[in-house]
Amino acid sequence: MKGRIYILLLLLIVVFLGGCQMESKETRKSSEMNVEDLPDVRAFQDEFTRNFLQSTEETRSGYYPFLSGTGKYKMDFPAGGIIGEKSYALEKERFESYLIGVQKESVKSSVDITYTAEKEGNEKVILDMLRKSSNEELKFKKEELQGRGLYIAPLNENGEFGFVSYIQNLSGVGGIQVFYVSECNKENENCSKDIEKENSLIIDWLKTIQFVNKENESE
Amino acid sequence: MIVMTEKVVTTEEFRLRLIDLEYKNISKEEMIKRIKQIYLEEYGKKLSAEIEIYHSSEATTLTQDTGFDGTAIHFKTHNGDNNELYVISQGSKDIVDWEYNIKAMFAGKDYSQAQDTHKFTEETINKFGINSKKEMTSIIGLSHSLAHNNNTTAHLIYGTFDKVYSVNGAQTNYYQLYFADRKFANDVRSYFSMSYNNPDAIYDIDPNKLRQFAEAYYKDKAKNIHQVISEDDPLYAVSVARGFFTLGNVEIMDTNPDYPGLRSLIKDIPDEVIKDFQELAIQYTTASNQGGIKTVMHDILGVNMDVVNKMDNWFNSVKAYATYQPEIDTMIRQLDKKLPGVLKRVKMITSNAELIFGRLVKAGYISNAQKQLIVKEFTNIETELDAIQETLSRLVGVRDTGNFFVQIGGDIAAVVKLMGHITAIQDSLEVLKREDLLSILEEIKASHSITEVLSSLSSGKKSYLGTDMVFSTKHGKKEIKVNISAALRMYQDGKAVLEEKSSEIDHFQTAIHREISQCYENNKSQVMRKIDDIEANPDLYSYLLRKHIYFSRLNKKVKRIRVYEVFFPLETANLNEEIHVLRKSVEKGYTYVENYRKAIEDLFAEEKEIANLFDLVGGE
Repeated sequence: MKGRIYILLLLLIVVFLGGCQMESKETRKSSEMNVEDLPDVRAFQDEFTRNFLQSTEETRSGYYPFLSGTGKYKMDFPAGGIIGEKSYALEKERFESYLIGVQKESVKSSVDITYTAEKEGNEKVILDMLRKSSNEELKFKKEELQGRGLYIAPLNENGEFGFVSYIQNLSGVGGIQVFYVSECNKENENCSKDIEKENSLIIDWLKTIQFVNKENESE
Repeated sequence: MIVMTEKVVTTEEFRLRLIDLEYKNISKEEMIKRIKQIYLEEYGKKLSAEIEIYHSSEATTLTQDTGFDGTAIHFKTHNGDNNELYVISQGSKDIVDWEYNIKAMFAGKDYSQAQDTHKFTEETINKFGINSKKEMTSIIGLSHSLAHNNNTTAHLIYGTFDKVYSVNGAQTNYYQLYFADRKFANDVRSYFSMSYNNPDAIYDIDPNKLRQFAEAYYKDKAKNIHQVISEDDPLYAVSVARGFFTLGNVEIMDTNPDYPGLRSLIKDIPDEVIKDFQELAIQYTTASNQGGIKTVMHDILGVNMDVVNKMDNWFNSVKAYATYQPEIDTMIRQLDKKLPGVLKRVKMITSNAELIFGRLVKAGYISNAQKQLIVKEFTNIETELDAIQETLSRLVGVRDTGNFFVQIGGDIAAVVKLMGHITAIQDSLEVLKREDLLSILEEIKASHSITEVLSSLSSGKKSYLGTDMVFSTKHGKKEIKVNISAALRMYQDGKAVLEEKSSEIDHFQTAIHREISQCYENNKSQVMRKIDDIEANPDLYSYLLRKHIYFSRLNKKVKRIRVYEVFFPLETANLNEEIHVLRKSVEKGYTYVENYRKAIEDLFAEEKEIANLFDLVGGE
């Protein structure tokens, strides 16, 4: 009899411990935390930006999980980035547009992101609009990722470094236009090297943008 | 790029009437018919170009729910060059669009309708196969109101059009362009040495310098933008707000000479005051269009008037409090959230009341008494809002004591007080809805319309009534005005009706012949056939005799039957007289229509083109 009780107790302890661990793993919404407990990075110190970040746990080094105000897509958000509150625009689930200002050790970037409820099949006209809007003959490379088509073209006019990208949802509506431009911090002497490094980071980052489809939610 | 001069639609009047036609939501066939008629009226000759129409509801590339509504009209000339493609976007007209309008204009961020304008135009170009002969086709944006913002923004960013023509347009906004036009944004950033890591840096730039930069940046494309703006248009007045700039060749018209126009009145009122006033006014208008004052109270203050109305005294309040506690709770929280913003705006208005409403009195929009009434009601609203704020702050204090009974008691007392203030605000809003104040708003709104601009475009003998063309002529000292559009419609429709009547009479005549004469003959020949049959086969009809006398089968036989027939002629079946009367009435109709035409032609004996018009529509 006694043995059984011990086993039960043990089980209870395991369950509790398990419970505790689970709780510590559970993502706590950053907006509900005390400011002192937040990571000491630009993204979390900004009250407006904080609201979009889903957890204080990094997704990978230097990035935090971000969910769009439309609820239609998520991505990694750079720790050194802040979203402009004044320039932020949201129209229910069909339109969202904002600028992110990113501060890194050697480069500064401005990222312009626009979400529209775009249907698949319009890629040609959208890419053409991106060309016209940036006034450059952008040469897009297409890559098919899970459930989405990713188009990337490098920018280089006016000494402007960066990329223009378009991401089309392939299992529902949704299109995201991204303009990513960077410049070196003034005192930087190894600028071209840093930019090169930054460019490969940007391409990796673009691949983290994913649509949140209803089917996925029910999983 | 060489911009061609249009050959088909060459006058402002035609363009305005085309835009107006787009608002009428008519079928393609009807639209083509009316475009031909307008062409005839304006130019006194038949349109030789072919017309093709494509509507945004058919488009497959558009993003859903943006509220974009447009029609493309393609004029195809016979020799194939100098074709014209018009894309008419519809300005704001329903709730979805007003919301967009407000957002686009005052926040200056959402540019999805400009994207849709470009996509729709591109789709139309493909649809009509213009792609291969783009250089032979002028692609033109036509617009009124919000659509000007769409068309011009698309023109500036994507080069959608060769030309843009608009009337009373919502102007473009350089903040909106900063978010939508990448090249412009980059140039702004480097010109003003804006830091890349500050996403809101644009708002730190001196608006005046930004406007100048934008004007210079777009000056080439602006050459192909042509605007007609009514000085009295309220949209023109609000375009003085920060962010807006007017591009292109602008013709300012005084369409309502009774008033000086609002823009001059608000020109030097500080930006924030106008912005607060606009925001409140727009919020009010949108909510009130949706569901009257009740919706206004809900949208602006977060108050549910259905619950408030149940709490008209202490006893009922306690009862209602017990039943609707969750609703009341939400309401108070909403109120607490929305109040500071509303109060700030109302205070801005009351503290500038002399400036705002005093100007309106001076300009003759409102009387002094009306001004006093408005100011009084606004002050009342402010007082009540202040009282609500005070009550709310005390309510929070009571809740913090943690004493449950004190809390409930405090809650009810406070809630009853709040309800009193809320009802008072509603009363003030009702007063502001007075008939005479609304009619001023109507008059101001009318100056935004296409028809008011059109009617002020009178030149010489030609003028406009609504979108109908009116011609005037002098007989002695008397001036006679004739609505030529209506006259032509009557002539054309009258003739069509008479033709239809005539053909109906033909049908009637055939029917008479078929149903009466023909039927008589048919029956007669049927009887004759039967008679022949009886006479040819008498033994088959022996049963007829058997009905009358008995005889055995072998005994007697019918050998011959002879039928003596008499057919009476068809009587009272002659309808010739009636047909004649009907035909006469058609003739009379024609005479009447032709006399009418002649009367008008006589009036305009010297203007050959008028007579010509009738010939042309008659020949249709």
